[in-house]
Amino acid sequence: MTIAAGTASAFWSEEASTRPNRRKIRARIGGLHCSLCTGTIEKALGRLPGVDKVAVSLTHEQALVEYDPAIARPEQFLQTLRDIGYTISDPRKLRPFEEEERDLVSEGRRFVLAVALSIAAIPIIADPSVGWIAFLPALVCISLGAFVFVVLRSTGLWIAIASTAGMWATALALLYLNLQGYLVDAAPWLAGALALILVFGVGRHILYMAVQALRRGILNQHVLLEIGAFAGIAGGIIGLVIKRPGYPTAAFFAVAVMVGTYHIFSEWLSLIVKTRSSQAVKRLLDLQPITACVMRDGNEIELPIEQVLIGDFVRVRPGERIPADGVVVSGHSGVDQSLVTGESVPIEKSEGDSVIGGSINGTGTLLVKTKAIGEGSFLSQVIHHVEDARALKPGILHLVDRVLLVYTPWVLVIAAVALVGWLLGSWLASGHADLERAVFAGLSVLVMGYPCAVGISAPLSIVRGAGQAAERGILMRTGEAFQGFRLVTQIVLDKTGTLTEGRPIVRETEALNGNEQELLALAAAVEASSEHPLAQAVIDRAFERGVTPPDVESFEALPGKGVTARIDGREVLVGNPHSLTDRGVNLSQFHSRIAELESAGRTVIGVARDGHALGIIALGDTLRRDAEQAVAALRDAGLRTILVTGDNQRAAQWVAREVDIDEVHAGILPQDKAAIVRRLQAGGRVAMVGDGINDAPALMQADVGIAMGGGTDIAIESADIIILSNRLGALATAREISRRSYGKMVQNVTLAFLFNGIGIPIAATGLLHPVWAMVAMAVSVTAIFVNSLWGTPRLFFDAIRSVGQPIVNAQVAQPA
Amino acid sequence: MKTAVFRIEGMNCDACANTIKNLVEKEPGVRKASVSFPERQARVLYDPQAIQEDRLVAAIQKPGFRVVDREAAGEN
Repeated sequence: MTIAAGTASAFWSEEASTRPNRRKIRARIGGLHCSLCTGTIEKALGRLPGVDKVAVSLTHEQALVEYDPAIARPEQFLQTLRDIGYTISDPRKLRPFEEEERDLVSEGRRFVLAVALSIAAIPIIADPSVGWIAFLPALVCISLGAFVFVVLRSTGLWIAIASTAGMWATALALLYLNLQGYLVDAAPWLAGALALILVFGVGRHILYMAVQALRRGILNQHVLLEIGAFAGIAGGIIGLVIKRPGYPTAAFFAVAVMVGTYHIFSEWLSLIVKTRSSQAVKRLLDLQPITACVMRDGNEIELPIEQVLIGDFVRVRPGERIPADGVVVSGHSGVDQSLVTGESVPIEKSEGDSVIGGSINGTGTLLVKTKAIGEGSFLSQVIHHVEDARALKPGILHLVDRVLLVYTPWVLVIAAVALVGWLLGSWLASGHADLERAVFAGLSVLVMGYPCAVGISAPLSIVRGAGQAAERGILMRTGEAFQGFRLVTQIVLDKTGTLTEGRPIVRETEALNGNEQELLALAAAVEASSEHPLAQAVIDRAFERGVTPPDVESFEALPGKGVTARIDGREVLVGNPHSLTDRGVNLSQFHSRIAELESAGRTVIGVARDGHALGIIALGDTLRRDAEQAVAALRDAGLRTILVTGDNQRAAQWVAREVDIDEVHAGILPQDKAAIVRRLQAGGRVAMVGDGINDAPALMQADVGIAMGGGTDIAIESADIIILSNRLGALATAREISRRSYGKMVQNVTLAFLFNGIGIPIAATGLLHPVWAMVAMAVSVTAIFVNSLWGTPRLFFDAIRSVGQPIVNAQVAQPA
Repeated sequence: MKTAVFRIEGMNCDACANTIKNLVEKEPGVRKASVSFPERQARVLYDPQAIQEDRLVAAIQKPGFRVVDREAAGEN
């Protein structure tokens, strides 16, 4: 497939569609606040004339639009998006690490400020006349102070101690003044000021997001929060106006402060969860700059890969990664292309053969003339496919958003019913409408309605789940990993490097006179001098068997055919059966055996001495030890297993038979792997397991992409789950953790809504003091913390402590 | 290509054997090394034109192991 760069502006990248007369643009969207946004964008753009298909990814903040260029213009889409309050930026620019870290620190500061306001508000409203319950928020006060300490701890112990102590001292001073009766008149005004500072100052961004959401017709948690906060402020203002003794003016204001604080806390917590996982992935990536050894003006110079030009001559040393697509000019070597194409046997390359950037050079040195750099190269085509798959990945409506979709309208309805009910009821009963009571009841419902613990319910269950997963060598990276994996009904497995070891070993030897030791010894001795791709496998087997290769007196490599060497004055020839026959060696007694081995996917080499055949050696990829068991575990879990590989049908069928796979697709090109996943997605959610460059688009496309820890960078970056331990058994474990974490999340969300749910009908009576809303908050937040972190509080503190810390001691287990 | 066998003293466990294997395989010209703790010996496949046997001995002895005997096991 050709990729036309098209007319790319600063705001979107444009490319040819796979369908005729259509174009595609990709844009990066800012301002997505919840999973409901994706639906809104898809609806808004889908309505425009000429638009065929819209796909939006929340996790990656990208939109892909396919349209008819004769009718629609990209500028029009972007304007539509801006009109409903999203921002657009260049999809090719990724957020730098420092920016993420800065966001985290500034969100942390915001939280500290909000807590300071809350801690000041609580003692002001402490009112002994309401009873003991008025002191319950003191618990909140203490716990919030403790959080401030944890947050500031990373900036310095003394700053943390001083800030926390200062806050508590202020709180105690205010409490003293209050209990002494000095604050009777000032309290409502003080609390009011704190509420205004929080809602319009510290929490301005939430107000902005809520307004945006309302404009798009979405009722998400930001909207619900602002409804609660504004109801609190309205209740307080009414109190200031009517000046009735006993009316909880200050308490109303204080509730507004508290809900805001908890909301900011939960925002910060989600941000930590998100940033930490993306940083954990960065640790895994090979961050060393990729350089190439380029011949310029007769000298070899080390250049960054970006500076290599088409037509440059690049020297590739043994074991190095080939830096760019090109053609071999001189030298010969076996090149391991398995990470690129999925073919498990290294391929011999010599003058005139083309090589793919990203494949690994074997034991010879190559001089390569580069043919494609950047946009046109194989790797960048794969990256394009990954980008496409990113936007086409099926979204998941987050649990919290799903609940809010129903919950928020109900809160509004109940508040309206309370208001109207009290107006009507009091008018019917006594003849005049009790406006004051009706308003109080309505506002109380709204204040009570915001379940502030809901924001922390998902991140906390993720903190726990991710921690448990990490202990088992699994890195759970995205929300999809937790919410999606349990829903998966089909699992696609890559062959090379996933189900198999991904490198050839000696599997069978056949010696004519039964002396396998001698066969191996001679083959190893000859191969040791050559740079044949399979040489290492033969030497390994010889050493494994305790065979000592004899000394070689002289040798000659016959590129593409084999090697001859002189041993003990006799000529030994090792090479593929064809070339042996060509040189007059009679291999007829092995013919049927060779055919049999080759049909089983093996590569066969023959060994002859002084023109007489000694035997044959068959090499092939081998299954991972735990492959069969792991696939069986997946089938037991009710998953349909599918094998997809770039390798040939023979090799694929062999593996499928060995481990009992339901469906096999062989000879698949990288871009087609994603298409197969897309097709499977019509029948249910799909997980994909792979490790190569060629797997990356499919990993991104799948509902849950799983990369093996030893995989290539691009595969790891495209995956939702990374198996650091490299054990296939971890697949079933990861699914179990995903199931349990989701269960935890459901429990948490239930707890979050439960206390407020009970409070709402009571608040509708118009008899509930607003301080009860705070009690509900404190109880539900505490309950969720206990439920999520019981027994493992360390996980939580580890997550927080790492904020603002440079990544030095990579704690991630190195892949085996 | 030549294979040399060294008898080694001073190994305490398989980890020592592994250390020697890694050290020797780092030397240029060494194609393959295997070290056995139970047999107290190392077998090294190397290119005699790229490295002298004495350098192999030095590599083994550097962390404190002793090579007590050596033979070229190739001529069989």
